[in-house]
Amino acid sequence: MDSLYHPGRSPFHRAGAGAKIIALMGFSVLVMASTSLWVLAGLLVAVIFCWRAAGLPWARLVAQWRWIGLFLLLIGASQAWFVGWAAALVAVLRLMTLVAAAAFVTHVTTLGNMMAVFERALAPLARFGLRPDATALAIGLALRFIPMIGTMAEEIKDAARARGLRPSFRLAAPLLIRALKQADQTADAIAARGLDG
Amino acid sequence: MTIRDLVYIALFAAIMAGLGMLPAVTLPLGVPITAQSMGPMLAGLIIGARRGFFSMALFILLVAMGLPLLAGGRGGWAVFSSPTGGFVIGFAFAALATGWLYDQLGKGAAWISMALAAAVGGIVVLYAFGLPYWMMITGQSFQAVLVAALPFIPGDILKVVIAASVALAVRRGYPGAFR
Repeated sequence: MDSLYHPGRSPFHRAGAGAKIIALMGFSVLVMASTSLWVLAGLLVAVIFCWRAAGLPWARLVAQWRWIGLFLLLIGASQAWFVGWAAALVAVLRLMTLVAAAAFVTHVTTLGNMMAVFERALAPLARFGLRPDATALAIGLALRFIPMIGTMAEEIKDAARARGLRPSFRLAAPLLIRALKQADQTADAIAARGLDG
Repeated sequence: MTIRDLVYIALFAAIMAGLGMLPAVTLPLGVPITAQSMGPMLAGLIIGARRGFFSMALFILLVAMGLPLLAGGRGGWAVFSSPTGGFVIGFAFAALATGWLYDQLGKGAAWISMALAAAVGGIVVLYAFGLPYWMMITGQSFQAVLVAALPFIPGDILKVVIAASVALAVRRGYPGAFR
Protein backbone atom coordinates (compact mmCIF):
# COMPACT_ATOMS: atom_id res chain seq x y z
CA MET A 1 0.00 0.00 0.00
CA ASP A 2 1.67 3.22 -1.15
CA SER A 3 0.94 6.53 0.54
CA LEU A 4 0.60 9.80 -1.36
CA TYR A 5 4.21 10.65 -0.46
CA HIS A 6 6.23 11.92 -3.41
CA PRO A 7 9.98 11.35 -2.99
CA GLY A 8 12.35 14.33 -3.11
CA ARG A 9 15.27 16.04 -1.42
CA SER A 10 13.83 19.50 -0.83
CA PRO A 11 14.07 21.20 2.59
CA PHE A 12 10.36 20.47 2.94
CA HIS A 13 11.02 16.74 2.56
CA ARG A 14 13.79 16.90 5.15
CA ALA A 15 11.88 18.92 7.78
CA GLY A 16 10.48 17.03 10.79
CA ALA A 17 7.00 15.61 10.34
CA GLY A 18 5.77 17.02 13.64
CA ALA A 19 6.97 20.51 12.73
CA LYS A 20 5.25 20.30 9.36
CA ILE A 21 1.95 19.29 10.91
CA ILE A 22 2.11 22.09 13.49
CA ALA A 23 3.00 24.57 10.73
CA LEU A 24 0.04 23.30 8.69
CA MET A 25 -2.32 23.85 11.62
CA GLY A 26 -1.06 27.40 12.10
CA PHE A 27 -1.30 28.09 8.39
CA SER A 28 -4.85 26.70 8.23
CA VAL A 29 -5.97 28.95 11.09
CA LEU A 30 -4.45 31.92 9.24
CA VAL A 31 -6.30 30.97 6.04
CA MET A 32 -9.61 30.51 7.86
CA ALA A 33 -9.21 33.90 9.56
CA SER A 34 -8.26 35.81 6.40
CA THR A 35 -11.06 37.75 4.77
CA SER A 36 -8.99 39.82 2.36
CA LEU A 37 -8.93 38.65 -1.22
CA TRP A 38 -5.31 39.80 -1.65
CA VAL A 39 -4.05 38.10 1.48
CA LEU A 40 -5.71 34.83 0.45
CA ALA A 41 -4.36 35.09 -3.09
CA GLY A 42 -0.89 35.64 -1.61
CA LEU A 43 -1.22 32.60 0.65
CA LEU A 44 -2.34 30.44 -2.27
CA VAL A 45 0.60 31.62 -4.38
CA ALA A 46 2.90 30.79 -1.44
CA VAL A 47 1.55 27.23 -1.29
CA ILE A 48 1.91 26.81 -5.06
CA PHE A 49 5.48 28.11 -4.80
CA CYS A 50 6.29 25.54 -2.09
CA TRP A 51 4.64 22.81 -4.17
CA ARG A 52 6.91 23.61 -7.11
CA ALA A 53 10.00 24.16 -4.93
CA ALA A 54 9.51 20.67 -3.50
CA GLY A 55 9.40 19.26 -7.03
CA LEU A 56 5.87 17.88 -6.70
CA PRO A 57 3.94 17.26 -9.92
CA TRP A 58 1.30 19.76 -11.02
CA ALA A 59 -1.14 16.96 -11.78
CA ARG A 60 -1.31 15.98 -8.09
CA LEU A 61 -2.23 19.53 -7.11
CA VAL A 62 -4.85 19.81 -9.83
CA ALA A 63 -6.29 16.45 -8.75
CA GLN A 64 -6.77 17.81 -5.21
CA TRP A 65 -8.80 20.71 -6.57
CA ARG A 66 -10.75 18.50 -8.95
CA TRP A 67 -11.95 16.36 -6.03
CA ILE A 68 -13.51 19.42 -4.40
CA GLY A 69 -14.46 20.94 -7.76
CA LEU A 70 -18.18 20.49 -7.24
CA PHE A 71 -17.97 22.28 -3.89
CA LEU A 72 -15.88 25.11 -5.33
CA LEU A 73 -18.54 25.58 -8.00
CA LEU A 74 -21.46 25.38 -5.55
CA ILE A 75 -19.90 27.73 -3.01
CA GLY A 76 -18.71 30.15 -5.65
CA ALA A 77 -22.10 30.30 -7.32
CA SER A 78 -24.11 30.71 -4.12
CA GLN A 79 -21.75 33.37 -2.70
CA ALA A 80 -21.72 35.26 -6.01
CA TRP A 81 -25.52 35.17 -6.15
CA PHE A 82 -26.24 36.17 -2.54
CA VAL A 83 -23.22 38.29 -1.57
CA GLY A 84 -21.15 39.28 -4.58
CA TRP A 85 -18.24 38.19 -6.72
CA ALA A 86 -15.57 39.28 -4.23
CA ALA A 87 -17.07 37.10 -1.49
CA ALA A 88 -17.31 34.21 -3.97
CA LEU A 89 -13.62 34.55 -4.83
CA VAL A 90 -12.66 34.71 -1.15
CA ALA A 91 -14.61 31.51 -0.38
CA VAL A 92 -13.17 29.62 -3.36
CA LEU A 93 -9.58 30.80 -2.76
CA ARG A 94 -9.81 29.91 0.93
CA LEU A 95 -10.91 26.34 0.21
CA MET A 96 -8.33 25.86 -2.56
CA THR A 97 -5.55 27.12 -0.26
CA LEU A 98 -6.59 24.96 2.71
CA VAL A 99 -6.71 21.79 0.63
CA ALA A 100 -3.47 22.52 -1.24
CA ALA A 101 -1.54 23.22 1.99
CA ALA A 102 -2.80 20.03 3.66
CA ALA A 103 -2.03 17.97 0.55
CA PHE A 104 1.44 19.52 0.45
CA VAL A 105 2.33 18.18 3.91
CA THR A 106 1.08 14.72 2.97
CA HIS A 107 3.11 14.72 -0.25
CA VAL A 108 6.44 15.64 1.39
CA THR A 109 6.21 13.36 4.46
CA THR A 110 6.84 9.61 4.34
CA LEU A 111 4.33 7.15 5.76
CA GLY A 112 6.90 6.04 8.35
CA ASN A 113 7.48 9.57 9.64
CA MET A 114 3.75 10.26 9.68
CA MET A 115 3.17 7.06 11.67
CA ALA A 116 5.82 8.09 14.19
CA VAL A 117 4.07 11.42 14.77
CA PHE A 118 0.72 9.72 15.28
CA GLU A 119 2.24 7.22 17.70
CA ARG A 120 3.64 10.09 19.77
CA ALA A 121 0.35 11.99 19.57
CA LEU A 122 -1.64 8.93 20.67
CA ALA A 123 0.76 7.98 23.49
CA PRO A 124 -1.16 9.93 26.18
CA LEU A 125 -4.21 7.76 25.40
CA ALA A 126 -2.36 4.77 26.90
CA ARG A 127 -3.88 5.55 30.28
CA PHE A 128 -7.32 4.98 28.75
CA GLY A 129 -6.27 1.51 27.60
CA LEU A 130 -5.20 2.43 24.07
CA ARG A 131 -1.73 0.88 24.09
CA PRO A 132 0.73 2.25 21.51
CA ASP A 133 2.02 -1.23 20.61
CA ALA A 134 -1.58 -2.42 20.04
CA THR A 135 -2.17 0.56 17.74
CA ALA A 136 1.00 -0.22 15.79
CA LEU A 137 -0.03 -3.89 15.48
CA ALA A 138 -3.52 -2.89 14.27
CA ILE A 139 -2.02 -0.57 11.62
CA GLY A 140 0.31 -3.32 10.43
CA LEU A 141 -2.51 -5.87 10.28
CA ALA A 142 -4.82 -3.50 8.37
CA LEU A 143 -2.08 -2.82 5.80
CA ARG A 144 -1.70 -6.60 5.35
CA PHE A 145 -5.46 -7.18 5.12
CA ILE A 146 -6.09 -4.57 2.40
CA PRO A 147 -4.47 -6.56 -0.45
CA MET A 148 -5.84 -9.80 1.04
CA ILE A 149 -9.43 -8.51 0.74
CA GLY A 150 -8.77 -7.58 -2.90
CA THR A 151 -7.41 -11.05 -3.71
CA MET A 152 -10.32 -12.76 -1.93
CA ALA A 153 -12.83 -10.59 -3.82
CA GLU A 154 -11.26 -11.59 -7.15
CA GLU A 155 -11.36 -15.29 -6.22
CA ILE A 156 -15.00 -15.15 -5.17
CA LYS A 157 -15.96 -13.26 -8.34
CA ASP A 158 -14.15 -15.87 -10.47
CA ALA A 159 -15.89 -18.70 -8.62
CA ALA A 160 -19.27 -17.05 -9.21
CA ARG A 161 -18.53 -16.56 -12.92
CA ALA A 162 -17.46 -20.21 -13.22
CA ARG A 163 -20.90 -21.19 -11.95
CA GLY A 164 -22.54 -18.85 -14.47
CA LEU A 165 -23.50 -16.21 -11.88
CA ARG A 166 -23.09 -12.52 -12.41
CA PRO A 167 -20.93 -10.81 -9.75
CA SER A 168 -23.12 -8.63 -7.51
CA PHE A 169 -23.35 -7.39 -3.95
CA ARG A 170 -24.63 -10.87 -3.01
CA LEU A 171 -20.99 -11.94 -3.07
CA ALA A 172 -20.24 -9.57 -0.18
CA ALA A 173 -21.50 -12.02 2.46
CA PRO A 174 -19.30 -14.97 1.38
CA LEU A 175 -16.39 -12.54 1.08
CA LEU A 176 -16.91 -11.20 4.61
CA ILE A 177 -17.29 -14.72 6.03
CA ARG A 178 -14.03 -15.79 4.42
CA ALA A 179 -12.30 -12.66 5.67
CA LEU A 180 -13.61 -13.21 9.23
CA LYS A 181 -12.38 -16.83 9.17
CA GLN A 182 -8.97 -15.64 8.04
CA ALA A 183 -9.00 -13.03 10.82
CA ASP A 184 -9.76 -15.74 13.39
CA GLN A 185 -6.80 -17.77 12.15
CA THR A 186 -4.57 -14.70 12.31
CA ALA A 187 -5.72 -14.02 15.88
CA ASP A 188 -4.96 -17.64 16.87
CA ALA A 189 -1.53 -17.40 15.27
CA ILE A 190 -0.70 -14.18 17.13
CA ALA A 191 -1.99 -15.60 20.43
CA ALA A 192 0.07 -18.78 19.89
CA ARG A 193 3.18 -16.61 19.65
CA GLY A 194 2.39 -15.30 23.08
CA LEU A 195 1.51 -11.74 22.09
CA ASP A 196 -1.69 -11.58 24.10
CA GLY A 197 -3.50 -8.28 24.53
CA MET B 1 -9.54 -5.93 24.38
CA THR B 2 -8.43 -9.35 23.14
CA ILE B 3 -6.17 -10.15 20.21
CA ARG B 4 -9.24 -11.27 18.28
CA ASP B 5 -10.87 -7.87 18.83
CA LEU B 6 -7.72 -6.18 17.57
CA VAL B 7 -7.59 -8.37 14.45
CA TYR B 8 -11.30 -7.74 13.70
CA ILE B 9 -10.71 -4.00 14.09
CA ALA B 10 -7.87 -4.16 11.55
CA LEU B 11 -9.97 -6.37 9.25
CA PHE B 12 -12.86 -3.91 9.10
CA ALA B 13 -10.52 -0.98 8.51
CA ALA B 14 -9.25 -2.99 5.52
CA ILE B 15 -12.79 -3.82 4.37
CA MET B 16 -13.53 -0.11 4.48
CA ALA B 17 -10.53 0.45 2.19
CA GLY B 18 -11.81 -2.31 -0.11
CA LEU B 19 -15.23 -0.66 -0.34
CA GLY B 20 -13.49 2.54 -1.43
CA MET B 21 -11.94 0.75 -4.38
CA LEU B 22 -15.33 -0.29 -5.81
CA PRO B 23 -16.39 1.93 -8.72
CA ALA B 24 -19.01 4.58 -7.91
CA VAL B 25 -22.51 3.98 -9.27
CA THR B 26 -24.18 7.03 -10.79
CA LEU B 27 -27.86 7.57 -10.01
CA PRO B 28 -30.22 8.88 -12.74
CA LEU B 29 -29.79 12.52 -11.65
CA GLY B 30 -26.02 12.28 -11.98
CA VAL B 31 -25.44 11.76 -8.26
CA PRO B 32 -22.42 9.51 -7.66
CA ILE B 33 -22.88 6.97 -4.89
CA THR B 34 -19.93 5.13 -3.42
CA ALA B 35 -20.03 1.89 -1.47
CA GLN B 36 -17.76 3.27 1.25
CA SER B 37 -20.39 4.69 3.59
CA MET B 38 -21.74 1.13 3.85
CA GLY B 39 -18.58 0.32 5.84
CA PRO B 40 -19.65 1.88 9.16
CA MET B 41 -23.06 0.17 8.90
CA LEU B 42 -21.46 -3.24 8.26
CA ALA B 43 -18.87 -2.72 11.01
CA GLY B 44 -21.50 -1.72 13.57
CA LEU B 45 -23.81 -4.61 12.69
CA ILE B 46 -21.16 -7.33 12.38
CA ILE B 47 -18.46 -6.58 14.96
CA GLY B 48 -20.52 -4.34 17.26
CA ALA B 49 -20.35 -0.79 18.58
CA ARG B 50 -16.98 -0.75 20.33
CA ARG B 51 -14.93 -2.74 17.82
CA GLY B 52 -16.79 -1.04 14.97
CA PHE B 53 -15.87 2.38 16.35
CA PHE B 54 -12.19 1.49 16.67
CA SER B 55 -12.09 -0.08 13.19
CA MET B 56 -13.38 3.13 11.64
CA ALA B 57 -11.05 5.22 13.82
CA LEU B 58 -8.16 3.10 12.55
CA PHE B 59 -9.33 3.66 8.98
CA ILE B 60 -9.45 7.44 9.58
CA LEU B 61 -5.93 7.26 11.02
CA LEU B 62 -4.67 5.47 7.91
CA VAL B 63 -6.28 8.12 5.68
CA ALA B 64 -4.80 10.95 7.76
CA MET B 65 -1.35 9.37 7.46
CA GLY B 66 -1.56 9.78 3.71
CA LEU B 67 -2.90 6.49 2.36
CA PRO B 68 -5.27 7.11 -0.57
CA LEU B 69 -8.04 4.88 0.81
CA LEU B 70 -11.11 7.04 0.39
CA ALA B 71 -13.37 6.46 -2.61
CA GLY B 72 -11.70 7.92 -5.70
CA GLY B 73 -8.21 7.48 -4.23
CA ARG B 74 -8.33 10.43 -1.83
CA GLY B 75 -6.28 10.60 1.34
CA GLY B 76 -3.97 12.67 3.47
CA TRP B 77 -4.53 15.81 5.49
CA ALA B 78 -6.42 17.51 2.64
CA VAL B 79 -9.41 15.27 3.35
CA PHE B 80 -9.98 17.10 6.63
CA SER B 81 -9.64 20.53 5.01
CA SER B 82 -12.31 19.73 2.44
CA PRO B 83 -16.07 20.13 3.02
CA THR B 84 -16.68 16.37 3.22
CA GLY B 85 -14.15 15.84 6.03
CA GLY B 86 -16.95 15.66 8.60
CA PHE B 87 -18.40 12.59 6.92
CA VAL B 88 -15.02 10.86 7.20
CA ILE B 89 -14.73 11.68 10.92
CA GLY B 90 -18.38 10.67 11.27
CA PHE B 91 -17.65 7.13 10.02
CA ALA B 92 -16.43 6.14 13.51
CA PHE B 93 -19.51 7.52 15.27
CA ALA B 94 -21.83 6.04 12.63
CA ALA B 95 -20.42 2.58 13.36
CA LEU B 96 -20.68 3.22 17.11
CA ALA B 97 -24.32 4.31 16.85
CA THR B 98 -25.26 1.47 14.48
CA GLY B 99 -23.77 -1.16 16.79
CA TRP B 100 -25.19 0.40 19.92
CA LEU B 101 -28.71 0.71 18.52
CA TYR B 102 -28.64 -2.83 17.15
CA ASP B 103 -27.70 -3.98 20.68
CA GLN B 104 -30.61 -2.03 22.13
CA LEU B 105 -33.05 -3.54 19.66
CA GLY B 106 -32.40 -6.97 21.15
CA LYS B 107 -29.66 -8.09 18.79
CA GLY B 108 -32.00 -10.61 17.18
CA ALA B 109 -31.05 -11.49 13.64
CA ALA B 110 -34.17 -9.73 12.35
CA TRP B 111 -33.47 -7.83 9.16
CA ILE B 112 -35.65 -4.92 10.20
CA SER B 113 -33.73 -4.14 13.41
CA MET B 114 -30.47 -4.30 11.44
CA ALA B 115 -31.85 -1.92 8.82
CA LEU B 116 -33.19 0.47 11.45
CA ALA B 117 -29.88 0.55 13.32
CA ALA B 118 -27.97 1.07 10.06
CA ALA B 119 -30.31 3.86 8.96
CA VAL B 120 -29.99 5.81 12.22
CA GLY B 121 -26.25 5.20 12.60
CA GLY B 122 -25.21 5.28 8.96
CA ILE B 123 -27.42 8.15 7.79
CA VAL B 124 -28.69 10.29 10.71
CA VAL B 125 -25.52 10.18 12.83
CA LEU B 126 -23.21 10.39 9.80
CA TYR B 127 -24.96 13.50 8.51
CA ALA B 128 -24.97 14.98 12.02
CA PHE B 129 -21.18 15.08 11.68
CA GLY B 130 -20.99 15.71 7.95
CA LEU B 131 -23.32 18.69 7.54
CA PRO B 132 -22.05 20.97 10.37
CA TYR B 133 -18.45 20.39 9.24
CA TRP B 134 -19.44 21.24 5.67
CA MET B 135 -21.11 24.44 6.93
CA MET B 136 -18.04 25.31 9.00
CA ILE B 137 -15.59 24.88 6.10
CA THR B 138 -17.67 26.58 3.43
CA GLY B 139 -19.60 29.11 5.50
CA GLN B 140 -22.82 28.06 3.74
CA SER B 141 -26.19 28.10 5.48
CA PHE B 142 -27.86 24.95 6.83
CA GLN B 143 -30.56 25.15 4.14
CA ALA B 144 -28.03 25.40 1.32
CA VAL B 145 -26.04 22.44 2.65
CA LEU B 146 -29.19 20.38 3.17
CA VAL B 147 -30.38 20.98 -0.38
CA ALA B 148 -26.98 19.96 -1.73
CA ALA B 149 -26.97 16.79 0.39
CA LEU B 150 -30.55 15.72 -0.33
CA PRO B 151 -29.86 13.95 -3.66
CA PHE B 152 -27.60 11.50 -1.80
CA ILE B 153 -30.35 10.23 0.51
CA PRO B 154 -31.91 7.68 -1.92
CA GLY B 155 -28.48 6.12 -2.40
CA ASP B 156 -28.01 6.01 1.38
CA ILE B 157 -31.31 4.18 1.80
CA LEU B 158 -30.22 1.67 -0.82
CA LYS B 159 -26.99 1.17 1.14
CA VAL B 160 -28.95 0.51 4.34
CA VAL B 161 -30.96 -2.22 2.57
CA ILE B 162 -27.81 -3.85 1.18
CA ALA B 163 -25.85 -3.56 4.44
CA ALA B 164 -28.66 -5.13 6.50
CA SER B 165 -29.03 -8.00 4.00
CA VAL B 166 -25.28 -8.63 3.90
CA ALA B 167 -24.93 -8.44 7.71
CA LEU B 168 -27.83 -10.85 8.18
CA ALA B 169 -26.30 -13.33 5.73
CA VAL B 170 -22.93 -13.08 7.49
CA ARG B 171 -24.56 -13.60 10.89
CA ARG B 172 -26.37 -16.74 9.62
CA GLY B 173 -23.34 -18.03 7.77
CA TYR B 174 -20.74 -17.45 10.47
CA PRO B 175 -22.36 -17.02 13.88
CA GLY B 176 -18.99 -17.65 15.57
CA ALA B 177 -17.84 -14.13 14.72
CA PHE B 178 -20.59 -12.56 16.84
CA ARG B 179 -20.90 -12.38 20.58
